[in-house]
Amino acid sequence: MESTAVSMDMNGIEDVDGLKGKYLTFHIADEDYGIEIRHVTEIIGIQAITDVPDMPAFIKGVINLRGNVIPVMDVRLRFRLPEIPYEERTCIVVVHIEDKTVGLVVDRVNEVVDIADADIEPPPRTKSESSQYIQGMGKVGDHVKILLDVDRLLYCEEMEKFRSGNDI
Amino acid sequence: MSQITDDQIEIINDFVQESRDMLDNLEPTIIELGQSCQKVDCWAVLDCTNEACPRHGKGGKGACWLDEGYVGDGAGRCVFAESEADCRQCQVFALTNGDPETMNAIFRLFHSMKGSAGFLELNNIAHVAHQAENLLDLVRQGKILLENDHVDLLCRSCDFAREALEYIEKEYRDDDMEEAAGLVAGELGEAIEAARKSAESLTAPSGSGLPDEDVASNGAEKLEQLGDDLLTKFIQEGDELLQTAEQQVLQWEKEPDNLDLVAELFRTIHSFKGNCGFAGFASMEHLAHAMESVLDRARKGEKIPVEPVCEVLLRCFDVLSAGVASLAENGSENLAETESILADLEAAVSGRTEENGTNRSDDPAPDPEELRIADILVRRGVVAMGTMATLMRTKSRPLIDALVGCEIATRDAIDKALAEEEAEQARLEKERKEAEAAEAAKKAEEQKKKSPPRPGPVKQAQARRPAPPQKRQDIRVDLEKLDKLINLIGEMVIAENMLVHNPDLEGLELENFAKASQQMSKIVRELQEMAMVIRMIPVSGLFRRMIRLVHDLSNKTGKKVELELEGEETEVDKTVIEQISDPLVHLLRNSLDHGFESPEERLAAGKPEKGMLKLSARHEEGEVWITVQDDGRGLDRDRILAKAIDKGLIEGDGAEMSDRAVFNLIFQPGFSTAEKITDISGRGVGMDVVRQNLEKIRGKIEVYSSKGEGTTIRLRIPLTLAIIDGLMVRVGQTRCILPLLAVREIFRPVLDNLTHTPDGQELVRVRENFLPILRLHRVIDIEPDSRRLEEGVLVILEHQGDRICLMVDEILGQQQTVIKGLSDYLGNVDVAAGCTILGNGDVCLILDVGSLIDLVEQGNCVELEPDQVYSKAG
Repeated sequence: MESTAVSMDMNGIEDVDGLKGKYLTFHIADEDYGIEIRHVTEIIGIQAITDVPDMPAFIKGVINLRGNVIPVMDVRLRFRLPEIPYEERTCIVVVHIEDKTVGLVVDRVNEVVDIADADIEPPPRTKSESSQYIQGMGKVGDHVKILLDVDRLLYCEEMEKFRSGNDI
Repeated sequence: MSQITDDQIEIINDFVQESRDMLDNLEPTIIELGQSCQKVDCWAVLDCTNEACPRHGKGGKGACWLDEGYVGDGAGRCVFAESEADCRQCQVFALTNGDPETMNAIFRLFHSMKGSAGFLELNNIAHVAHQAENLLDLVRQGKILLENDHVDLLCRSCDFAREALEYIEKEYRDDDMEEAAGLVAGELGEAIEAARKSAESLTAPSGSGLPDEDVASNGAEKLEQLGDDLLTKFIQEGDELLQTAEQQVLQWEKEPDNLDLVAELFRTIHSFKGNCGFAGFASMEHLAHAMESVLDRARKGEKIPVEPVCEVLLRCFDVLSAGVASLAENGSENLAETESILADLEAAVSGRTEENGTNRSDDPAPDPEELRIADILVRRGVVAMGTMATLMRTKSRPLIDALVGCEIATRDAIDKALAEEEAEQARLEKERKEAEAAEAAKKAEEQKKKSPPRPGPVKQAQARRPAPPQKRQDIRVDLEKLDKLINLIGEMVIAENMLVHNPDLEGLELENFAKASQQMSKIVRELQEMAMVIRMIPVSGLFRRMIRLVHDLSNKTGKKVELELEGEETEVDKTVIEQISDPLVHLLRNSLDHGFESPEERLAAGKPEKGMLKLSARHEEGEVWITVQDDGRGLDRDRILAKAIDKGLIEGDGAEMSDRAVFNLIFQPGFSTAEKITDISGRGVGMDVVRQNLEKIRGKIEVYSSKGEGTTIRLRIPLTLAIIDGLMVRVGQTRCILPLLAVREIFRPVLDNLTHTPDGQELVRVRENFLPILRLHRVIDIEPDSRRLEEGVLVILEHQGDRICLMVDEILGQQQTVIKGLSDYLGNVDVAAGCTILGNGDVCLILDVGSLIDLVEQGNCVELEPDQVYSKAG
């Protein structure tokens, strides 16, 4: 099964099994991060982002993805790292989870790696906010990749507050 | 049912669909009937001078016709009537027992449901429908009095039917509904018994003959009872069914052994018959029935000489088509040569018996006169159709003798029926002639005036007859397909924009291209409008469902309420209907439970005892407004505030809050001011659901109320959910769309007209008014070309009577805009109603004028620009 080409088709249930243990890794600031590949639908270069008013800073706005309007989150800002100007290596990783499609702006995308469950350490037990969306620490050779829980990355209190706050 | 074929599933699905439509019609009618009943004294209504009458001056127990009249064991002393029929036509009867036409309409609906359900072996539904029919029949005949409980019971039967239909949709049978059916039917039965007993002396109702055959008298009378809509529908469907059937017959002739084909044909004819029966066109129903019987035999594998039968069937279709056509033209079914066709049909089928050499080889062709009599007797309800058909085949002596001999009918009854029929034929003929004469006279007059015929006068001239319905063709389309089509059209609008405003074309002089693209834009625009209209349906269905709700609630709460519907014909998108159904229910419930006072309180407050609840729909400002208005006690500002403070929803004492802001608190989750929770409402979950549902369709909700006078709640829903006309504006590098409908004026301000308030709100004078200025660059937080008002452009926006001026850098033009949602992930973005994709692929926000105005009202964005010059300081 290892040789099976990674399929981006998210519809087939069998494929999900084939995708297990595969992580897309990307680079932000000085760290390597990884997210489960089954959530990723595509990777696109940075493009014009339309600003949406009254959003948390890390929501950069919306883009047009072949006729669909999707929101874009800057993961750098999400982690409260300093903002840097976008350049040609900046990428948008489009993830799809629970019927929602969101683009994640990352400094650069690295590769798809296999990380066995055995090589994943539980997240550090700190109360810091950023550790909330860490799924685990994956070991690849000598390197450690921070594996992110996409679900929690997208659904944070801040967004919830915004959503309910706007209802009034 | 053991094994269910696809065909059966199809029939059942059709049945479910039709029955649902029927039920939607049925409920409001039942309630209407209940409301038309009044307690009146016969002597008062009739201005009776017969002082000898025991009811005179004091009324009496029970119905007058059962007491002094001629129905049942009535004493027969009433001076206004001479027979049972007189009693039933008496206005006292109609006033006390409900409008006879409404009654007949309900009766027919139940009857038709019973028929279809029986045919599909859905015995439980059929059973309940039958009981309901029995009850109605007794009422109709004056054997019992219609009571409020009966109305409730009939409504409950509808509920049961709905439930059963849901079940049937899943399981294709209704066996498991037996318990529920037994319950409802039992209650109906009890009600019948109880009513009978309370009607004191009363003879057992005659069990013979299907009661609806009394109803099925003649076309003209029927037509008055039928709504125009129903008739139009009948004609359309009838036409389509007949065409289908004709094709099927032709096919059958080619493939005589294809039993599936026969079965299909049978079903088609059966549907047609059902429609006729439902609409009350007896002669067509009769003919269709005969055709159906023949086909039924063929379907069950009997050998039938296909060719001659087909030939006659085709002739039958001609007759029926002519009948339908004449319905469309002048509203009467005018069936020609039914009898001879029936005879031919019989002959064609019995041809088979001769060929097969059975014992009845010398059976003479039935006498046309006898067939005519048979037809009349069946229609008059003297003899059941099935009995007659058997008799016609087996009898050995003249028909009437046979009937009397077999004790199927008495000679008197037969003679009476025949006489009635003749009289009626004569009357019909006369009416037809009169109508023709009137028509001719009208035409002549019109020609004299040389004015084009207008619908108004035509209708007047035909006072007794509804205007001939237009032929219309409908097809049923899967909603999903329609949505796809509309999406595609939306995409096309974007693509067209991309093409026409393509950057590659900039600066080029392209005369021909411009022409062609203009042409295309026009077509695309029309296409869009069409697509929108396709999805629109009138709100009447939704509104009429509320009749039942209000009826039930008013019974439950003991508050008397009259529901008034307005603008039922207003059309809105189908999705909108689905989304506002729940909110409407909530609003009505709230109104009934909290809004209205009890009758005593109302009287004490000097209001009429009966509350007025008005539900209206109309188009306004490019939106649909659905308004629920009551004249109850109104919202109590102080109590709402107290509650809000109690729940920690607001800070401070709220004294500075506007009424609007206070009333809007009721839409907060968990808010409820009702002291006690009733089983109708008061759990505080309703109103926030209302708002959520409305937000899904970009709708708004407004509350107006004054204490003691009532509450008005208005739902404002955008007319189209997908495309608007937009005005594109630019600020700095950003482009935004404003809904063109909200734009009133665009101008460049002069310094002399600019000023500001002490707290920093900039104002501009437009003729006599000072309007607040909102700087768009501050709202979306970007750097504009210039911060000086006189260098920008002001756009006057209006929303709900409020006006503001929006400052932008430049107006870029007007364009059709396909609205896309701003992703659920972002939730509701305050100032943006959505976004759209521009020709160059960029995403562009569509601004929400209401929220912009709110920004100004809340006093956000007030801060004077340091380098702005004003004419004078306010």
